[in-house]
Amino acid sequence: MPVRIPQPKTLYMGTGGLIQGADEMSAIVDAWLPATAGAVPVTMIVDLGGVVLAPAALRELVVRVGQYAKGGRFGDAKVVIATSEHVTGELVGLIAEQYQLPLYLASSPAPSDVAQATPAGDLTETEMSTLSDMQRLGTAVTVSRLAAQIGLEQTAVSNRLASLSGKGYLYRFSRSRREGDLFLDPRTPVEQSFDQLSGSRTPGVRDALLAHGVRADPYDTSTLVLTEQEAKELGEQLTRRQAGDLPKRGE
Amino acid sequence: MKLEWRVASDDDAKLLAGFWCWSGGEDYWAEEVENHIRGWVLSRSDVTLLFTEQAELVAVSAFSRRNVDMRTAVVPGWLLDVVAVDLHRQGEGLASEVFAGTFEAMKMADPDRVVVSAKVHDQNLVSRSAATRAGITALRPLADGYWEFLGTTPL
Repeated sequence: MPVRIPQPKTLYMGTGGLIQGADEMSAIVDAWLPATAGAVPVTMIVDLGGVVLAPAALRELVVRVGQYAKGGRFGDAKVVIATSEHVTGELVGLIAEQYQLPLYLASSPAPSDVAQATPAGDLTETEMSTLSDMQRLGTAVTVSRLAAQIGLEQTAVSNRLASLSGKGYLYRFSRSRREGDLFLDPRTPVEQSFDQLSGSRTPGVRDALLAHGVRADPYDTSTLVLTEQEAKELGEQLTRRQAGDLPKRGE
Repeated sequence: MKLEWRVASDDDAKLLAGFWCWSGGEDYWAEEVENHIRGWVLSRSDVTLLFTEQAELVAVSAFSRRNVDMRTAVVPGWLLDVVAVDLHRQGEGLASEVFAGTFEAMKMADPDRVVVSAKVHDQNLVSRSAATRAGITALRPLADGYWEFLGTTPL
């Protein structure tokens, strides 16, 4: 495929509740996922936070999403399963291995945690090592560049990258023979991959702020921790809201 | 004429790449919002909304999940990532409609998330005023001239 910027897409399952059966999960997954393949490669981050999954539902989720991605149902898609539960992560890893599904496991859907995700599924030690090299480099590579970075013959590196992209762990972008194909680890932050893959320079996230010495991040979604007084006031506001006693907007 | 809104998809990337809301002045917070909408909002925000009038894009808003720790409980909420009106349509009082549509979309996305926060630059008087009118009011100062705003979606 030509060079296109992979887009991360977080799929989250709501804020509570137990999902028991495979059928229920199957319906949820089908409602979530695009019906057709898109032109843009997608890194799908499946956020398991906020729900409790029974084993059958978990297996259905992992197998279905993994098989769809592997089969190219939504184009060139890579999958990251995000869960803070260690045991759930372990089970996802076992399912991925059993069904030979190319997945990554992250402790949360935050970009910093996705960048640290661990690969799961059908991987040899050599392939795991190559993915570690890719993760460490944090950049799109050609065969020649990776070979130079890790001190291996180009043929060996070419085989490893081809195998990993064939299994679904890496994006592969076709280019001319002279340039060489580009390989990209889906864990690479999108800002980095954008700069590496795009021909023209587009202002990055917060570039305009950083240029003025502003370090504040207006897009930071980390939990807002209120003081006691702030919490009290918000609580009162929520109570009034519940009672339908909020002033109209603009009053 | 009432604005219509819809949730943006990847197919709208080109439309968003041509969005203008910054006049090229010293208001770097507006430049940041324009850059964000042009190149990043689809991939970084949970929901992006396009507001149109007669099929012409006149405003964009976007929001993402963000929880609020109330000390006794953590409640699910939203972070209002951006609210921006097209440069040529600014000053027409469209912000209230954009906020109303955004709140409506928030309810549709998750009716249990009623708490809304936003980070607004203290010199961005238009946004401060629009947010306040919409019920999202200044909570406390953050670093570098930004302020935390907090409120709830309307009933």
